[in-house]
Amino acid sequence: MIKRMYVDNFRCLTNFEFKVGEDKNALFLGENGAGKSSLLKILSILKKIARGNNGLADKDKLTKQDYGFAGTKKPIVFEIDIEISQRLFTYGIWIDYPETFFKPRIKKEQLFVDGKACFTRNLADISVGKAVFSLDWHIAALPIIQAHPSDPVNIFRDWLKNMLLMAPVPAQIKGETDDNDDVALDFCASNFVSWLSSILGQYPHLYGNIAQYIKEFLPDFGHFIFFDVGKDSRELKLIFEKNGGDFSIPFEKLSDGEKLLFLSGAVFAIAQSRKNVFCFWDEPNNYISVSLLDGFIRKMLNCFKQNDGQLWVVSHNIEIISGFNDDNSWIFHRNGHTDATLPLQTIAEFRKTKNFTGSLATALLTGDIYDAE
Amino acid sequence: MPNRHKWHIVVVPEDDATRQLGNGLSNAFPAIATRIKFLREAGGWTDAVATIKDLELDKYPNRRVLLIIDLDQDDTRLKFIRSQPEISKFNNRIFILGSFIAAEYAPPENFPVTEPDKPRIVDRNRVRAALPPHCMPAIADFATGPEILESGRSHENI
Repeated sequence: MIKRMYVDNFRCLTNFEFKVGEDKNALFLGENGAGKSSLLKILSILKKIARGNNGLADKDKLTKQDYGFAGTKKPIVFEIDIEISQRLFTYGIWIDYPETFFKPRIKKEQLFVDGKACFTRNLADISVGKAVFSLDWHIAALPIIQAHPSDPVNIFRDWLKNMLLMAPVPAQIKGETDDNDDVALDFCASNFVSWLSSILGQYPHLYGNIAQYIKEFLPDFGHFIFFDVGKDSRELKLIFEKNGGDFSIPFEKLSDGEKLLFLSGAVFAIAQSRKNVFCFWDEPNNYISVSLLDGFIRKMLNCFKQNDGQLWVVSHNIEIISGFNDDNSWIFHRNGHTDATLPLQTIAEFRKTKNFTGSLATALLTGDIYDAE
Repeated sequence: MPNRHKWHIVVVPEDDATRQLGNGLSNAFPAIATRIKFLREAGGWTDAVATIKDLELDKYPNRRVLLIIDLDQDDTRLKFIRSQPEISKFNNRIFILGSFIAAEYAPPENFPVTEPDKPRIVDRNRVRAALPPHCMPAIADFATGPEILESGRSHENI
């Protein structure tokens, strides 16, 4: 689980630190532009690096516009502390952008486990134990260090690779598998069907968990199948039951909310069957019927809690927010577009500092909860 | 068949604190998470009771209701609420969880508290001892009262 994140000079996050509280699950609240989704962006950059896409100049990773208020005069810093099987992994990467360069450069990079260096880097020089070698300073060293499966570098990389980072857009989710799709679920879940097919190939027992989950929300749901539609492509279909008969609906023809329920079923099944699953879901309330929302978030939270997983959620929706408590709901404050995000505060801290005893729902509607003074 | 026609329970919390008590309760029963429907905070215990009418219990026989209210150290309130017509009519389907601490058992001396600013860690036997019998929550088909109280550790009155 993520214990701590530190960010400097990235968008609105300046000298920003987030330490996970007693409850490792978290809800992030805040007005638009307060920095919530920037946290997700950072994790997605780290995930891409871990998956071997280690150049930093891609337009979906870093551009000059991602540098914060200090501009390119200061490096962007990402640090992340992750606890895996009672060992503390600390990874940091410092990315500068010298004036004469056309793309970002890695100034410093390091991975420690329980305080012991796995590798360190200073510009192009990488040190692994006593060995020192040089590497192009535009690419991260993390994914290219040779490591056995039980090596800490590999354990850490695998953890980052398997993070579920989502801001799903149902209209973009394709209904068929595609051999060209990445096996990792992409940010907007457009490759969900390919990803589902891939995880069911690896873990077939998840099928039953997914079907059972969907049935709880859609009581007439029966089962789902992958139907061959070509040499390399399979279409996902859902079978519903009525009066003893079946009828099938292609996944693509489902409503947006139903697509997301199906996606949440897959996330749920993974979190239920594996330990230490991390999921960051940006606005899960979008598209799902309001009558199902609180059951959905409570079920997800229960599942992550019981299986040592970690669920982080960004939401503006009161049904989702109500599933969390004062001590695991974090408020992002920012005074304006020329100001950095202020240190995070839980609702419990907000109540204490403001002597606030009123209704959270009212404070959210009036915006009083975002009043940092 | 939509889920509202199957067994389910509607939780009516009085305020933010009792909502969080309910969150602790739902965490203890993951298998029925989708059968628990939380309504918005009612705003006061009288408003929570008034909400019962909107829930059309005669139309939905599989619906149960859990009121979570703050008894404010008033040991007559539970009896009063139970006597309200809309509640007594469905006595076997409406459950009341009331947070209550009698003045003579009030914290801090008598209560096991780890740190004053942290959520209080409750010794369930002492909570059991602190609650008068008629204030024990009438939800024996879920769990014992102290376990539920213990789950809602964010609640200030515990």
